[in-house]
Amino acid sequence: MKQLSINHISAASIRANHKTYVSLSVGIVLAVVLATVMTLCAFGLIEARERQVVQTVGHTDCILLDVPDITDESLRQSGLFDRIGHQFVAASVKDSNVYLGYLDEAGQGILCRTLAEGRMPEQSGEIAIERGALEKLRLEAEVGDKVTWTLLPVDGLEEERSFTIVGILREQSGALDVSGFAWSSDGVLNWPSALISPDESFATGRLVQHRAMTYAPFASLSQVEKRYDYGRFFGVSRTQAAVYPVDPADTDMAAYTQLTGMLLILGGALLLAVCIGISSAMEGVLASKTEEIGMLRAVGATRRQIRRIFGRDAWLLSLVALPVGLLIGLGLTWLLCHMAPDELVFAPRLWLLGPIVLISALCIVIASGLPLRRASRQMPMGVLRDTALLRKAGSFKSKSSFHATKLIAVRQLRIHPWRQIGAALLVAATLLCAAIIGEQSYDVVDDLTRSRPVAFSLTNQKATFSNMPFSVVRPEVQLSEQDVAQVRNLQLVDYASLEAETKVNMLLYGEAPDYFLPFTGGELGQGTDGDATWVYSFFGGGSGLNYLSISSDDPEPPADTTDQQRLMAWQNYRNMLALMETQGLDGKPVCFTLYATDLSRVDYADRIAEGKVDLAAIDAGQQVLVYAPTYKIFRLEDDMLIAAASDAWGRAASEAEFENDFFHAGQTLELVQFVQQHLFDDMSEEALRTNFAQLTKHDASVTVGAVLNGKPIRNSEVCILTTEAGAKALGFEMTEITGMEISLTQDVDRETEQALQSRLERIAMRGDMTVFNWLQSWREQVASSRAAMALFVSIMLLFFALAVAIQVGNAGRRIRSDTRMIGTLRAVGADEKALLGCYRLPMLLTTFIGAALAAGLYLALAIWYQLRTTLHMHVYTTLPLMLILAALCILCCLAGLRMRLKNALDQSIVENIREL
Amino acid sequence: MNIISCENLTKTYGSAAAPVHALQDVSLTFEQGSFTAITGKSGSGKSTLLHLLSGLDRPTSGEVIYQGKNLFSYNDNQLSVLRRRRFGFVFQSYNLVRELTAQENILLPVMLDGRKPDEAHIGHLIELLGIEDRLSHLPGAMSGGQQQRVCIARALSNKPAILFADEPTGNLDGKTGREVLSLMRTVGKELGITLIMVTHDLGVAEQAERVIRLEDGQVAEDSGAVSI
Repeated sequence: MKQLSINHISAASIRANHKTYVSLSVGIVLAVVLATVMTLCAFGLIEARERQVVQTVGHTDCILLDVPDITDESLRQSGLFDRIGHQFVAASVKDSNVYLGYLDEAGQGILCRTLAEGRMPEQSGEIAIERGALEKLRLEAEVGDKVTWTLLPVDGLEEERSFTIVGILREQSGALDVSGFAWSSDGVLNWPSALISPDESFATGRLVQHRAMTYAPFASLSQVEKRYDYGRFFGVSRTQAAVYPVDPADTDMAAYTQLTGMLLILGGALLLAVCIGISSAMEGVLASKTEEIGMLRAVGATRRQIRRIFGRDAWLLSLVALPVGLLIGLGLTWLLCHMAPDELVFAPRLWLLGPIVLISALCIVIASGLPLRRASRQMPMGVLRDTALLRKAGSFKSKSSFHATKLIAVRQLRIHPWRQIGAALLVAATLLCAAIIGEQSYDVVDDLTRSRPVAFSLTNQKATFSNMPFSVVRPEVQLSEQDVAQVRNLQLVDYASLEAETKVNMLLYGEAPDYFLPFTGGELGQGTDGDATWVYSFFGGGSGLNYLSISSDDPEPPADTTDQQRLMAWQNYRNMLALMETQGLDGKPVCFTLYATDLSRVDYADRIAEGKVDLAAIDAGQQVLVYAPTYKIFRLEDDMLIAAASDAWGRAASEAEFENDFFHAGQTLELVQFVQQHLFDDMSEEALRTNFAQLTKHDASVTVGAVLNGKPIRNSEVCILTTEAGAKALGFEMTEITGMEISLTQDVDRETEQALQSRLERIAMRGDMTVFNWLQSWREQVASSRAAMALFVSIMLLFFALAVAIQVGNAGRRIRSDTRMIGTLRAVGADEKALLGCYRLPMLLTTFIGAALAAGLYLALAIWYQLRTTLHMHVYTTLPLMLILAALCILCCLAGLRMRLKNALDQSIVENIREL
Repeated sequence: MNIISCENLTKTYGSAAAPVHALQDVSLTFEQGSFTAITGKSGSGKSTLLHLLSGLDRPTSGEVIYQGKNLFSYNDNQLSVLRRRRFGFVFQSYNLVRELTAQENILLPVMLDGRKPDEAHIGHLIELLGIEDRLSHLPGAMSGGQQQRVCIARALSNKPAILFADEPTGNLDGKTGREVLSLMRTVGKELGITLIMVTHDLGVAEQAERVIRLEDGQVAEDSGAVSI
């Protein structure tokens, strides 16, 4: 009953003074709208990303490839997995990495394989295949066509089979391919790119079972790896829709945080602005009830009761505002989702009501709480005797000559110094938005005017893993010379530069310098066998180089050693000796990546440590560039040591540093390339010797034109750089094509662009490459810059409006409560100008403080950028823009003040001073 | 010599359907240097008359002539200048600016006018009113009588031609009231100021040279102008 009566009082009070409550209601509705839009957009962003990911890798969190000794039962018992599905692999097409298999029902449920056209195979002799697989097989086949292949059942004998293509699958095998970072000497690591019917049977061979799993709640790859042996499970990144070499949980979390972070910052800033608005409106409501509060306190109401009685207003309004704000928020989010359907999905869920209500409630409680607290602390007689004023009186010095209205304004400011702080913050926020817009506009103009030489690029980030110092020619997963020529001969293609790499060996005579041996630094710690701790290094294209640390006097490692690095080094050392012997070499072969690219497009500006870049000499095969970064040794969380170029692992302090003391300009390098024409089946020492003897060998002597350092190139390892022409002139085979950059002869329309892209995509699939459309990306960038500008302009306008509204509202409230003083001043001869002076000063001061705050922050940031980065901000244009906006803010405030004052001046002086 | 006069002064409040006539066709003339008391029951229109005469309010019809010119033909700014230079006003509820000290309140009209205060005159006023030790106090820290003295000092600080006082002793006890009244008279006489005072206290009215009694917004009795 007591509760009800307070509600009744509040409701009646709202009805009677509804005008006073307008700003409060608007503020509360805005808070709910923002909370709704923010929550729905954050969820919509993640949901949109997830829907895109599901199209590629389904719901898969983790895959287990061909490991029969781990049973489904054991996986279930571990409690780490929620669902387990199976992808069976039956055979591969000979001389390709196209694998055939089928899914069980659970597998389909997790992997969600979908068709671009046609249907799934239902009986023996039918097949559904990815477009990329057809391209790799260089087949121009469509649904309904019949194909005949020589198949290799896993561990079986080859046989010829014919299939009718009944469907084209959406690409999935590429995303789940682990060959870039894992290898197996006996198991099958490939994911099928063609589905056959389970009825299809092969006379010989075994059926490989891959498993796709979803995690139980809170499980991750790290936990799985703790439970099972390291390196058998592979995690699927839910943000990149691809298998990830390490636990993708952190990366995914970082991506999600980044995804929603900007939204949260923006939303947070807007919510803060709304909170200031609510707080200010609540202050207004309470100011109009000062006498009432004083009276209630006089008749014995406690502070808590005051807070409850007058806080109830805000809660009653919130009840009405919630559905209204929710509806507006839903509408706005729906609109946003339709503007960016790829990035944002409109997916309202009932449970999202929880965070929405929580955020709104938090805003309302905090924003209305402060004014309520202040009001409830008022002493009963405070209202009548101006206690706040008298408390400050001690610091007022009576003046015998003064500017009357200024003095009044200053005294009022001194009594309530924090009254305008919210408005000052909003002015600062407005100006900071203006600064962002100012800076951003340069980017937009830059985007619009920048020349765009590259229209498309083809990329393949997957390196082939091998610890041998030579490259393998693998036509089944590589673009061939014909493919490259095909790209170059496409109509409208002006220029297609190639990025390719291969392994070459520099012949080293004598001892290896320290610079090549960061992995044995004895001072860095002790290994398990009492030997030096190994440092994992990207240096030299894999771990194949660690044999350099073993001199010919070094004894064999103890038979019972468990140090895998030591064993690998020993194996590599022996391989190296065998290679030298079979190939008749004098020096030790030190393996580096030879990287061929369009060097005219590489920015060397701050990379050249020594020498100069002579492109003509490089093209002629007389010179190469060597990237020789300074290595820092970092200790990772699990005590593993890793060597990396200067700024690649900037997150931790380095334990040691190794600076290039070997390569220098003018040095002659003796290079030799070994090319392996097929994969070795037999890794026994005897077989290896035979294979080593059969390697194709190319050698060349070349001068180092320049040594580069600094920002990482490729994997931030030592590499030799040349051009496509340079590599040819040196006589080296470029065994791995990692990218192509394509420019067009003229601007093309969307239709032509689309046709070109799809043609390039089909060629790219042959080399497991992806096509990036720079033209489209540029369009999207311009569109997103514009959207960002529009967003910031709207936010700025909102802040601006709020800053002006709060200031004018504050002035209006003060004018209302000062009516009698205004009457008195008018009676003793103050004119309109003088009265304006009383209220103008706080506005000027507020705007000035806000502007100073914003300008200070902006300048600090500009200085920081100037000192710490190569970027610089456009202070000379942005700062005046901020000042103009601040002036505009003052003008708007003054116009609002004049209007408010006019209402008071329209009354006669007698009405002004009439006692209530 | 006339200093201020009004002709057919009428003030009506409320709607046209139910008008409340606060003042009806009042015509009066005030001699320079005279002390006039306006009396009447509550609601008889005394304060309305004072407000109209001093230009604090506008009449429904009629004129107030000051120095040969209708007060209401001035614009707001001109009227403001007139108020701070030529008129002084003492309110029943003092109406001091709460943010200003007693001294600052006294100097307010002079400061608003941007003039240098006549220190001798103001010092004399302060001495006469006996508020020397209250000068640096804010109104909130002063008693009613002290505030009223400050109010009188403020009204007289610009040496006005006319001092309008609306029940200046209404909120004061008898002794203080008498003191305040006598002060006003003394200073008024000293400076040759015309004093027009509204009061319902017959004792106070008796001290005036002329008493005008209002009834239902009309002059019921006028003892006539008497020159000092």
